[in-house]
Amino acid sequence: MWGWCATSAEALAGFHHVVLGDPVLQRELLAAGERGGFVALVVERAQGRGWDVSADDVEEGLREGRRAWRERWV
Amino acid sequence: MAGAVGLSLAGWTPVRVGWEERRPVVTWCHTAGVPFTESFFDETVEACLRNPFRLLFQRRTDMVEVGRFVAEHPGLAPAGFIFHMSRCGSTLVSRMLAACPEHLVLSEAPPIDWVLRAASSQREPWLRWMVGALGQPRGTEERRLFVKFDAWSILDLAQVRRAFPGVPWLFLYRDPLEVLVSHARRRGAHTIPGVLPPELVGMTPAEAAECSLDDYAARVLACICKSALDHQDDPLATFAEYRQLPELVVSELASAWSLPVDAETLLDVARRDAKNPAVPFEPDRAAKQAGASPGMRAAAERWLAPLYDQLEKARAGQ
Repeated sequence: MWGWCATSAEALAGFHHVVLGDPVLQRELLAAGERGGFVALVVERAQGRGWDVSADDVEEGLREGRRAWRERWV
Repeated sequence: MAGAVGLSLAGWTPVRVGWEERRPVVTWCHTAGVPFTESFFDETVEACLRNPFRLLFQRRTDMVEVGRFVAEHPGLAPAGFIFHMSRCGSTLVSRMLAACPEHLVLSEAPPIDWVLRAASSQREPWLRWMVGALGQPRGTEERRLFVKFDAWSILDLAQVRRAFPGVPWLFLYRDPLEVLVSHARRRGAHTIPGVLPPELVGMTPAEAAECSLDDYAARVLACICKSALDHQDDPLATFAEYRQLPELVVSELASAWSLPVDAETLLDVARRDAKNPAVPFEPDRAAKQAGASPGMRAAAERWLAPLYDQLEKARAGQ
């Protein structure tokens, strides 16, 4: 599948949707474990499916996830 | 949303709920294969989020989607609810119950608290859906679900009873002075002015702002105890005092809730600190009694002593 994306955030969101519908891909990414390997694998799998996701996009997504969890009481 | 039709929610758990444009939005975390064994729900979620996949790839749905999921995956039926006045052994009770492989225990899960405090006429179905979504079996052995609520949730006991008629419940309490000393050392959120709406705990904003921290805590705890006493005639209620622990769980509670338990396994849990199982349990009643300030003693005497007496009478009359 090829996806045209105006922004890298949209690319990550598009790949996010792909992952949620693919249990095999979910298991593979879950098993990646430590952060560095995980980021590289997300980039590889996303770009292999036509989503122009960079390592910076993934790192920002992880930071946002951590921020959202920390601020859940706010 | 990422939880669109066709994307199964099996293996995912609601971890957070919030309002967006006046509609509830539920965030789910992938938890397949993760046993919920920490003392509190959020501690398990925190551990899950250390895996970068679980941190990055979360799902968001509306509340209707939660209902649809539970309709197809009903979850374990609740076998007992734990309510408490805080700092009174409720975590120990939940950890003891969790020691049985057939039990799934949810301890102070924020999505349940959110639903109970939501300003919505849909709270009752939402509560059933949320408990159902959270109460999905993690492995193959779980048969019974127990929910330990936040201390202030007893104020919504009527709502819980309507959503789950027939589920027995426990109210745990302790010598009020020992509870106040515990909060003075480490304030629970509900004993900090401004966290709960003052009217919810029987105060005006002016009263909440002007009273001392010890008085405020005592009045909140009094509200909690009064709410429990309002339901003392419920045949499904069990009232228990801290000093009955840990044996209560393997005797009166197991009997009242018809639980087949391995007493030795559950009692072994009580040898460790319930909130920090890495360290052994140390009795602290004497230290807490000795550590109470004059202000705490006055607050306990004024706001809580009569209620404690009533709780003891209710317990004796069971």
